[in-house]
Amino acid sequence: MALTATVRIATDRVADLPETLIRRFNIQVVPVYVSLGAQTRLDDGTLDRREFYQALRQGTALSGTAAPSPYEFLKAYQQLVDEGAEHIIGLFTSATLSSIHNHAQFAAQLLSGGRVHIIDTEQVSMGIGWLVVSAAEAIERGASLDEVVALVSRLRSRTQVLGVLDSAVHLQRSGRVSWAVARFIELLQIKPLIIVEGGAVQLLGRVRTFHRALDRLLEHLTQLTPLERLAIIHTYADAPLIERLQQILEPLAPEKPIPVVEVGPVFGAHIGPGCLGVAVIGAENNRSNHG
Amino acid sequence: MGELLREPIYTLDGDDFKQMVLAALLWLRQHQAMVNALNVFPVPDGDTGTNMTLTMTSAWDEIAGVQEPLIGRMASKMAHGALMGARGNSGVILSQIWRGFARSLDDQLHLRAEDMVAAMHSAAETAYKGVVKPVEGTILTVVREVAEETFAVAQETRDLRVLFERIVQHARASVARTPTLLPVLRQAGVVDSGGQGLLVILEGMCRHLQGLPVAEDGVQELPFEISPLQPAVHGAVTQEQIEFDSNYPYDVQFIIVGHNMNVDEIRAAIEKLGDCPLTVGDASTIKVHVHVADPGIPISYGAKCGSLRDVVVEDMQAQYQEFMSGRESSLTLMGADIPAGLNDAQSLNIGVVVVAAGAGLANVFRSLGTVTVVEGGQTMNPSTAQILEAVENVPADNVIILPNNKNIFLAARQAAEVSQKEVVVVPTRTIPQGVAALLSLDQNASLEANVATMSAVSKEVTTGEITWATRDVELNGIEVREGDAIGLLDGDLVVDTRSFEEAVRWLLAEADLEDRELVTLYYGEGVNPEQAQALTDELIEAYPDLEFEVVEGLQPHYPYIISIE
Repeated sequence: MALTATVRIATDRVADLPETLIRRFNIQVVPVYVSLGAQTRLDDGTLDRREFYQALRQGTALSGTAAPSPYEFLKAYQQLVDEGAEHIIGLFTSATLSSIHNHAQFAAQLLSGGRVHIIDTEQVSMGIGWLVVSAAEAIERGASLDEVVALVSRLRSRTQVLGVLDSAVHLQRSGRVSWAVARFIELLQIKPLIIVEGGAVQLLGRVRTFHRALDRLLEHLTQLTPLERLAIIHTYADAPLIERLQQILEPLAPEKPIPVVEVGPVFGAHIGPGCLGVAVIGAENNRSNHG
Repeated sequence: MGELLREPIYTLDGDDFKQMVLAALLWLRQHQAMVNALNVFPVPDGDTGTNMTLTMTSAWDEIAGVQEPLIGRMASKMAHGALMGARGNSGVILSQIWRGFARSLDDQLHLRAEDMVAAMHSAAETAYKGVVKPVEGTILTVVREVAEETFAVAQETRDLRVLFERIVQHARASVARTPTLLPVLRQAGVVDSGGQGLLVILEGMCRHLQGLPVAEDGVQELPFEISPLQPAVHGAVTQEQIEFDSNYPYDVQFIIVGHNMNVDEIRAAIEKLGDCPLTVGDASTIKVHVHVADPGIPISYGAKCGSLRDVVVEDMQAQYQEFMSGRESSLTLMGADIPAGLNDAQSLNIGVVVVAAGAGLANVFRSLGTVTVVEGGQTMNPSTAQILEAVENVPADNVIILPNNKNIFLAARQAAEVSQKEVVVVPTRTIPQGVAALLSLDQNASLEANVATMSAVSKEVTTGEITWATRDVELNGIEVREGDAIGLLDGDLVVDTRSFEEAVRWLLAEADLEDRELVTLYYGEGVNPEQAQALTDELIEAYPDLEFEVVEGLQPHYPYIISIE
């Protein structure tokens, strides 16, 4: 157990970090509220995702998400302090996309001693996850607080989450993304290709089929090579499709097999079921302009 | 009087040439249906006779009111008219012939036999240059052989009447040989329609020199009526209304200036008022265009939404007649009166002009982004001028044209060439290819990059087209009877059967569905939507691994267009 480390990391459930990594690096994960139909519950990682996406797919229940209260964050920080943390690095969901960051920031001010250092990840899902892993590895190597903060700031500009949505419906319904809300009525089935980068969700392109989407993903990722981190993320996409993506990305993968991560209900509620994509940290001095 | 006593003709001037153009046009009108019938493929396809007639009509309209003694200048005016009205591949090649012809004559007063040699040579050369991959056994071969014969005959005689008689004779022989050069003609048992059209034009000119009648009643005087054979042409979105609907005789345009206006709401309201509606703009400035029976209705509606500017009400009957007398002014209706602010607000890096027939298909393209739809397609190819006008009106300096039909490639390329803007034609052959290309448009990428992507993705789509055979033929070993439902897979005839729905089933059975995910059925004009839905439901059962969608296309002539991707 790495409890001896005096720098600890806190993140939130939106980071979609697999349990193995959470335990391996001893990360503090703040749960997030998810509502499905009349029920509201805290997603601490135990919520049945298959059931959630099933309900989302059938449209039987509207889902929503809510940031935890500053009190939940304070509780989490306090626990880390009690475990001996001198400094806490907070890596939470992008400030532009959620109020999680604000609440975490507020809680940080409530904790005495200025121990909590929050860096806006400008990311979601494993985009946050990879920054957390990179920071945790640096701490393990003995990096100082300042070095870790500097590292995360550098890496986040090379971090992207990309994916193809099965349809634009959920993104439109979520109301978070202005271009999606403003879309015309679509007469044809269109799958949006989205990119989350620098705190913004943008439309990278539109395709009609998953095949074409995967080609576009590969094209895009090729511009970012050599990749430093790569994970496949999905919201219960079809298994053969995930396998196919694994196959075509294999040559670009920095670690094999490529980790496959289920996107949790919070981000998942906004993009809907059946989405497939990647979270990636691209090569240095190869900043993409996704053109 | 008599054949033996006729005076030789050594020179022709501007007025002579004008009369010859009219004679050519009238003679072509007489033979339009015959030229149309020379269709290789038994599908309702771009009708060559109609396209060439419309091109010559535009050429004539340009010079009808002109007094010009210099043949060079008369020819160059006529060539300009042909270029602006060029329709279909045959019409565009024809316009190139006239361009080369006129360029050679330059500012000359008279045409003599030796000038005719140079002019025909230049005509043939320009025609070949206008085509990316010249094919022998077409109008190109005919014009080249005519040019060669002109040279040969001019060695023997300087009499232009004799010269014309000889080249017409030679043109006829040349047309007759086209099936020996082009296997597809041989197979279909026809001569090349474009070559035949050129022959008719030369013959009309020759008949004028011979003093023979070219019009049915033997009179070759103005004015003439538009032939009932001409297909309807209208640019629903391009504003330019050549055809008018007598139910909606008034063309109303205005700009509404206001704040927080809801463009979609106003568009929906305008759409209910009449024909050819167009509503563009933003929350502060909206441009409205619509054809209505009562111009007061849209204007008072607009006044409720904000304050009105630049109200224009036009009587389309008058416009129509003006078009028929060939004024270019009707082509710039829209561009001139869009305020700069609106243009800026709508300004794009890359504009797209798509050609599509059918209100449903036009809506599909519009739903995919900011595009200008030029109405047209099979059997009603838009003119160079119509495409050009759309290109000029797009609020972008870079424009991509998606012709969605190979018969429109040349007119699209002409428009691209004539325009001052940076214009590229992505040669999409079908509606599904055009949809795929448009979807890949990336406003952040360069024109070149977009063209490359669009060309590549359009080839990834398989297109099925269901139509009816326009005559008996045997193709690809399939015996086709006139009126049969036939299915084309990426342009190849693969199915001949009784019903259109049956043709769809067979076509899918023939198609390679490996790695395909999505099939879209665009049902055409006259197809019952419930029937299309029932067919789709049945196909969903039959192909559980594929997704199906059914979309209202309302395209003419093609009950079903199928996109397999």
